[in-house]
Amino acid sequence: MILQCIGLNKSFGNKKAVNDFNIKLTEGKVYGLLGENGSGKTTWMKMVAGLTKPTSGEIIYKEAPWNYKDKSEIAYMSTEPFFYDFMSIKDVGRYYADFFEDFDTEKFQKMTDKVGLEESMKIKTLSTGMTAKLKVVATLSRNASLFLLDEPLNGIDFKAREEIISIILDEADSKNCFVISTHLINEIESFIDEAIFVKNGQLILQTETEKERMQNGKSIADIYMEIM
Amino acid sequence: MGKIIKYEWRKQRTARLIILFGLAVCLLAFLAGIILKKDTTVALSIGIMFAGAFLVIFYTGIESLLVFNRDLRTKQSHMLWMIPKSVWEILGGKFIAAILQMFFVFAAFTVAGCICFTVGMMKVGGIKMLFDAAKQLADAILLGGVDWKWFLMVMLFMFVAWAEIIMIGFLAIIISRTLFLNSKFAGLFSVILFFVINWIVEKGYSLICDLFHVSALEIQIWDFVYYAVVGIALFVISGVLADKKLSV
Amino acid sequence: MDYNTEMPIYLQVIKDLKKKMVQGQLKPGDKMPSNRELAVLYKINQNTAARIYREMETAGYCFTRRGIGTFVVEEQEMFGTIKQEMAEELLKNFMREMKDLGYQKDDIIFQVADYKEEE
Repeated sequence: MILQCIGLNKSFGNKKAVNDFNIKLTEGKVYGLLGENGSGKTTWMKMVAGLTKPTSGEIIYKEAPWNYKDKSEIAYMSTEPFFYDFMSIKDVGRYYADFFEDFDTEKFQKMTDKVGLEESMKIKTLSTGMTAKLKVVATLSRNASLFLLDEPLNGIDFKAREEIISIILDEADSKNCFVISTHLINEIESFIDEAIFVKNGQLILQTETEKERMQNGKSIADIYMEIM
Repeated sequence: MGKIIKYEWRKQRTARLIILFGLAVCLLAFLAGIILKKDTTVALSIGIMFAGAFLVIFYTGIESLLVFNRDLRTKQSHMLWMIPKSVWEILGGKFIAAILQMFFVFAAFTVAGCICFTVGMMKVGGIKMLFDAAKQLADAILLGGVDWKWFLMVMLFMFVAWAEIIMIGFLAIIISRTLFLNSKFAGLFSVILFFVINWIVEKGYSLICDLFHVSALEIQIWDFVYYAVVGIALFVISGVLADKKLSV
Repeated sequence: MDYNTEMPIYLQVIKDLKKKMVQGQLKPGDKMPSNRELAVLYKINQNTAARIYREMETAGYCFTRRGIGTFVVEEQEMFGTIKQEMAEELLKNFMREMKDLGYQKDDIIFQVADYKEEE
């Protein structure tokens, strides 16, 4: 088990963004985090990534209470275009290399090349699709243990989407763990091991994709329509 | 920590370049005025440099706060908060970068001032007078004509006061972004909060002055102790709040 | 590749790979894609890819050379068997569906003989 959350809560004022959240994640698996906008997916991810602190509850990373040093093994990619706008793509690589020991600059260069990004490009001038690709490439150039990707496929065209999925599939192996949040269920259905359904800040179902097919003849999209 | 400072320093590069450019233009205008014997140009460039110095140093202090606020609003703050560093290193790095930027600007204006002074002296009385002036200055320093203790006190006091102002700014922004998240009011509220905390700190200062019957006008060891303690307290509160409550 | 919901995804990929063997796109002794390549090719994850090769190996369709990769079996007979198996399965499904519609075996044979392939 790489991550466990026990009774996790996060409130903003009176609003409970994450409500009594219990979950266990295992190495070597790809998880789909599914739910409507505002269901608490992002808040949960940010807590695991250390960008926001739980109001109460526990986060256990690799058998020990979460600590800021765990960020060196947890790679989080947020929805927003978060790179400093004064940077070039090369600078982004340098920044990651400066702060993350697990960052592989060579891999970063190869991947940027592969998806048609040039080192000299400025962050300010990138299109939405290019920014989305750069975010994934930078995040996945780390050899992290836990990857949290928040809406990596959102708002981009078909080709960029396929490229991003290929990068993810290339990197997800038996040693790391991926959590991918999206509402484009059809795009990720074929490669997630388990689906996690979130509604009103609560985890309402965590289930194995293949098991659902075998036992109930249901796709994740079918289940989503049923319970959401 | 060094790396955090490096990137924070980079964020204020544009302002630095504009300031250096403006300073260079003024300096060239001054030199041109001297050479071409145009007194108005000389006076005007010196005037702008003087007035500019105060404005620019003030803005430089504020800019690091503006950057912090903007980063939180645009979520570029993720860049800093996703790295495996403690909140103390992150805030500390920001603080040191802000202080360095102010020192840099201060130094740039001091150098410009020295150049103006030197050139002006040479123009008025030639090389000999410059040397005389330098000798007088050196004598004054060596013989104790200049009150070094006093001078250092003033410099140190300015530093501590500025540091404390930046701390107030950090705290105001952190509280505001914690309460209002990404609401439009967060920016405005942090400005109001900035003045409120400032007022509280000054009120506390006069209270303590009254308590110990010391004059608030003189710079004394009290001031350092008070502002240093307040500064450290503000930093600790900011850090704890940022760690426990702030959503970046 | 489009997946249906009736069958686990890994079985659907195995079926497709078997088809490629029968069609000659994968020849005896050919090196099969690596786990990573298979994952990207079929939009599955690498665990599923590994599982697919494990199952195929157990069934005797391929074999793994440690550190080199997975290869299609070299025995020609295996290809005949696979073809036979896949044909039988299709036929079985077809017959079942036709019987559901009320056709008897004789009617079906007649229908098949009479069937004109579309251009």
